[in-house]
Amino acid sequence: MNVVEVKNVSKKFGKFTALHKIDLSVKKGEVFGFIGPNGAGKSTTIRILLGILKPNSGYAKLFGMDAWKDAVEIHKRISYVPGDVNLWPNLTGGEIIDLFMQLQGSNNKEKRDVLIQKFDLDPTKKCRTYSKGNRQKVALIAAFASDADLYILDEPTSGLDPLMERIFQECVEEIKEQGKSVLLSSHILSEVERLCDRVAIIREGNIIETGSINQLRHLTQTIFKVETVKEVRDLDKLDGINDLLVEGKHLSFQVDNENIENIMAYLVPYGIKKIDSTPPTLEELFMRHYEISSDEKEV
Amino acid sequence: MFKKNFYGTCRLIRFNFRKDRLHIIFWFIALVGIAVSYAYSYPSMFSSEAERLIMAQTLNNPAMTAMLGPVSDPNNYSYGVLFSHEMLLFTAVAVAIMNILFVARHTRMDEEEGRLEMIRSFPVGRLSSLASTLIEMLIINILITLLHGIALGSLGVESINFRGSFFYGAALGIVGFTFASITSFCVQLMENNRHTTGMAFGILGFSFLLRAITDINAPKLSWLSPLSWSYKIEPYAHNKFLPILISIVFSLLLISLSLYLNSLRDLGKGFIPQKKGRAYASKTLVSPLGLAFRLQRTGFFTWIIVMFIFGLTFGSVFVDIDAFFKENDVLARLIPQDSEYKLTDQFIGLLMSIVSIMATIPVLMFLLKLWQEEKSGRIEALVSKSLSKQKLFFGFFSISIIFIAIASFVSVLGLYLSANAVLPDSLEFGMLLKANLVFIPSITLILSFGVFLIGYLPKLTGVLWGYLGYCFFVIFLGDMIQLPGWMKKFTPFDYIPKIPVEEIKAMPLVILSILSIGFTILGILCYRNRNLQQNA
Repeated sequence: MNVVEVKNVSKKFGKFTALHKIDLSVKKGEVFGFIGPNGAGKSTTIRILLGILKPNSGYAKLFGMDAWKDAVEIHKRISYVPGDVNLWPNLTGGEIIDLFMQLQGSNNKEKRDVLIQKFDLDPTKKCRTYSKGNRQKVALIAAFASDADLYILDEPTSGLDPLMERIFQECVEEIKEQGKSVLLSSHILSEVERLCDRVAIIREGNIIETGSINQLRHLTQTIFKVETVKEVRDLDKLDGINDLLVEGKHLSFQVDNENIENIMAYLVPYGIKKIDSTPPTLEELFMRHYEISSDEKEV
Repeated sequence: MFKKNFYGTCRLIRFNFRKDRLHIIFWFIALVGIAVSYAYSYPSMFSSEAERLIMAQTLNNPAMTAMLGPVSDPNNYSYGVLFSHEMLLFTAVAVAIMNILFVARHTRMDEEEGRLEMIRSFPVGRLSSLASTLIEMLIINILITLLHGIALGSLGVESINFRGSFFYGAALGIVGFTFASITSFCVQLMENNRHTTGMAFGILGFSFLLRAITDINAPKLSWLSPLSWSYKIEPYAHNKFLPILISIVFSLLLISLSLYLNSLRDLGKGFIPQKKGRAYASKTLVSPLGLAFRLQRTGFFTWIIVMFIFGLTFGSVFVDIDAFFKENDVLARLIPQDSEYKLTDQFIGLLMSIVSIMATIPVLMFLLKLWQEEKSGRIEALVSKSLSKQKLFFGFFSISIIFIAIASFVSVLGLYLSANAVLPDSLEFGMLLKANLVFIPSITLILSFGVFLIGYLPKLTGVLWGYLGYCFFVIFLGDMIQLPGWMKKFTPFDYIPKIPVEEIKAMPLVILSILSIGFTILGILCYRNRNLQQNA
């Protein structure tokens, strides 16, 4: 069963189209990564899921209920952490954590205190004195201490230090073990790579790719570093070779995944001494998608 | 559907009270405290009915009507009538300001800062935030009504009875709630907090002017101003219900409209879209003065217009004073017989001191903007470039100084134009300007206090507003309610010669100027040597 189901959703602000007929689904028990550059529509999508914005067309369903109409019912089962957390300056972090938990309908004091210790937050300070990272901790603690079925996290670690980021990742993994679902929008691709089962890439209001990270890799290229016995000739004339660098017997190049077989066959006669292949990182995937799209734009 | 839209409202109301408890207590103590101490002092100030009648006639003239509203019952000028005439309108304005600030803070500001988005991610209805704020304001305004009723009523002052006191409190409560609903409407139109409060304060200012003008010339039309509903209740005299009814109907309509508009619009948006700005910085922006000006441009021009209108309003009312006083035997006795000056001339000094106190508000605001910028951490970004703190300081300081000059000229021009439109050749422009310019050292003195505090104890700059309020209170109401004379000695405005009645005396002006320069230099030295502060 899909926890989140978005079909054909468009959102316009005046003349500007922020989302263009997007489809999206998050399965139960899955951590779903949502990546894209600034202004691509990540936060708009999330606000539609939260029932704060009303889509111009299509529908968004959470737990099978309509995100706009049944917002109150849905919100009893979700937890949300925004990327830019602003809090009331004259309340303390502890007060706000309690308020958020109460509003959500949970009351797990023990979990709350463990998390405060884990994230190393001083809950007695007024929020006006908190840095961005500390304000984010407040929202994260409130979210993780709440008992929700779906966690919507919108760039939740943008202000955290690496140590806290690791604790965040542990928390997400813990949730996942409990069979709960997470929608994680992020810029930090290593984080997405480590945590997420599936990923969607959004750009200028369009979802340009969805799938598991492995599936996405298949769509792209693999990087090879090869050392041969004899010097290789005319490799650049083969199909599917990119970024070829030849230094005597040392080669490095990228290959479209469908052409790996041909190229290996071509190389074997030259005597392969050493071969090293790396799958593209998510970052390379990401960059490649943008390059492709901006190339299309120029055409 | 109803339940869904307002789900969680009760919880949010409790949360609002939790956030506001200190503010609320402060406002309650200030409002009720001032009202009680005033009302309590009346019997000792005016022991006989004759004295009260003289007071009534003093206050029952166009200038005073413009400032305080009309006298509800000139024939029976009891303590109650006297008290509500002197206090009600100004207190109502204060209550309106309180309501505007509270509503804007809980609605548009939370929305602008992204806190509402956070709240909305919980099981909370779409309209719960606005509804909880308005219900909170309703409760606060009812409490204001009850507290005034109980506190004033139980003083036991003759004619200040419980019935009248509850109507007095209600007059404050209904104006407060009306402005809460007006603000809730502004929230739907404007996209940010500044514009929202700006629009609401604009409506408040316009309401004051509208009722000032109509009270003098066409009292029936002043019903159009929500502020007039306060004194149209006529507490302690006729205790009328009609204004209460009108304000309730008006507020309910406006609130329904606001809720409806709120349900239509997207989060973070308003019905009046924001203008797009420049893509590149203009040349003037890239200098400390240019930056200081650009940040406060709108406020700067708005205040110039406000000063002009202020001058116009004063000019139009105080020309009648002479005629009025001549017709009135009782009052004629109040004027020194041997005076070679007309009464109008004697009023000029008072008017100019009030104009100057008014002008000090923006002058301080423009300077204190520097501290606001520092608090928010934006100054850090500037100083980290090759721009010294002093240069930045002089940018903001210059705006204040330039404004002093423009404000004097503009307000005098307004006064002159409207005075001469009513009564040709009644006043000389040069004389008016001189009468105004002599007040500049007292404005610069308060400005220099500001400089000093920014340098030495920036967290205490809020004290300046209290001090300015004190100056206004003592100068404007001091004579009228016969405050002890020493209270005036603590304001720089009292030392200024009142032209044309008094001669220009150089001494006080020189001393005030030297003090101004001294405090300014001291402040700059402190400012240069102190650390930048953030999140303070």
